[in-house]
Amino acid sequence: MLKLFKKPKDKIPKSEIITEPKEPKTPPVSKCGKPLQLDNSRWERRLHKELMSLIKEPPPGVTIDTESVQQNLSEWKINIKGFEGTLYEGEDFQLLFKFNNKYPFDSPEVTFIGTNIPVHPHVYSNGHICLSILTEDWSPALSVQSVCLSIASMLSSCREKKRPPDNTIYVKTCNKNPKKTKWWYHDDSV
Amino acid sequence: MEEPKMGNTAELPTTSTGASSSSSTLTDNVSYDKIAWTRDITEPLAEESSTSQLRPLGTSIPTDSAASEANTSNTSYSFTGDYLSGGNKADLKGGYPSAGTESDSKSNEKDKEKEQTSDESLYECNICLDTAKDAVVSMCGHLYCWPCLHQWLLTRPNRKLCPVCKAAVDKDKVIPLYGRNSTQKEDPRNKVPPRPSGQRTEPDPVPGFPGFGFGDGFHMSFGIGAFPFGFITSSLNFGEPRPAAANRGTTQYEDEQTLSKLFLYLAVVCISWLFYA
Repeated sequence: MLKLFKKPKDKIPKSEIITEPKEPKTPPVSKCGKPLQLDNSRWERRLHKELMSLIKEPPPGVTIDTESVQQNLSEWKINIKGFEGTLYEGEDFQLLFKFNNKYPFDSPEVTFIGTNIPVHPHVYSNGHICLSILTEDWSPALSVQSVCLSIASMLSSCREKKRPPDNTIYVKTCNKNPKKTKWWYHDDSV
Repeated sequence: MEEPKMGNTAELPTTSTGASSSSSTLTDNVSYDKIAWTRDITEPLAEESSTSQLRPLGTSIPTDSAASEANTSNTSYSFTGDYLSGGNKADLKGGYPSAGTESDSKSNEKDKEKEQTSDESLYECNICLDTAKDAVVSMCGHLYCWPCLHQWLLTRPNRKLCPVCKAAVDKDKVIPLYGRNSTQKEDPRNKVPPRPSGQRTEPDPVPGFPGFGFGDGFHMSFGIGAFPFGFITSSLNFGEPRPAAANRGTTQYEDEQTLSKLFLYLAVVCISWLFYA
């Protein structure tokens, strides 16, 4: 069973509240006159590193759409295969990762896109995924690779193909950004 | 691991300041060749001039060569360290045509090597995936750059967890790592955010007296006196520290127990008398 609460619209979404105080207003300057590495180049650097390792050693069933990344480093399209022996065997899904410049301190926005969205009790028909590591349990030590692995594992452990019980109402009322939903994580079985 | 080691030895004598070591060399050399040095001493003792002129002299006198070699190399290396940390490599090259070149090229190599091998380094920060700068390690053993970890702690001020293992982590609970030449590299105060300083706790004193039965938190007291004032004096123990409670099982403990019981009964009697009277 899966339920969620919609946040009142006047409230600032949680993801924005928690990330507010971390950027200093003036970039600190080190002794040699160069700005310290607290600026935007750092998240790009990390994304580059992750991209390289994902291209070099992709986890099983995961391929990255390099063309999409070349156009825009902050939006990755990743193809993921349903594993053999699971309910999703033979199916192909596409994930969209959106990174903001607070990555890796802020989690990426991850949704299923394309025509084939897996029918799963934690995946809404608009592609939103109810997965705790995508919001409150996010940690900067996680990576695109580990998120892909979690989603693949979530799909693989599914026993029954069905939509979340509140799918219709959520899809009608939700924000475009799944991170603005206040998720309620309570089902660890799938 | 070879290259950084060489770099370390090169920058080793930085504890002696440049000025003092160069002046000591000066006095050494003066005793051997006074005429040659009288002119130079009168000149302003700029660090560059003294070192660049010391070097040829040391080599020209074989008897003094060992000592002066060591000293001159000391000075040149320590300058290199300082200048590099200030980021003024151009100054360095201009300032030391003879003395500084060797160490300069060495450290340049080191820098290049660092850039190249950073990808496959084991000592990567768990957040930025680069080689950890201003490294700190959590109590659970996970390595981070201090700026990275600091930013993460600011991101979730009420849930400070280790990104890797979700153990509790805080500014006071991380240990800064100092490499051999990291202390003079930069002033940590110039860094934003500052790295927490290392902590050194004194070892526990030899235990003379083991713990008490009730612990320190529990005490009862009764006083006899004028009614409202007695209450105040007995319930608010200002100033005077309480004597340590006796060990459980000792005769003193037994005595105290019986005494406290006695006073308890007495107090109950007094209070009930106050009510009924």
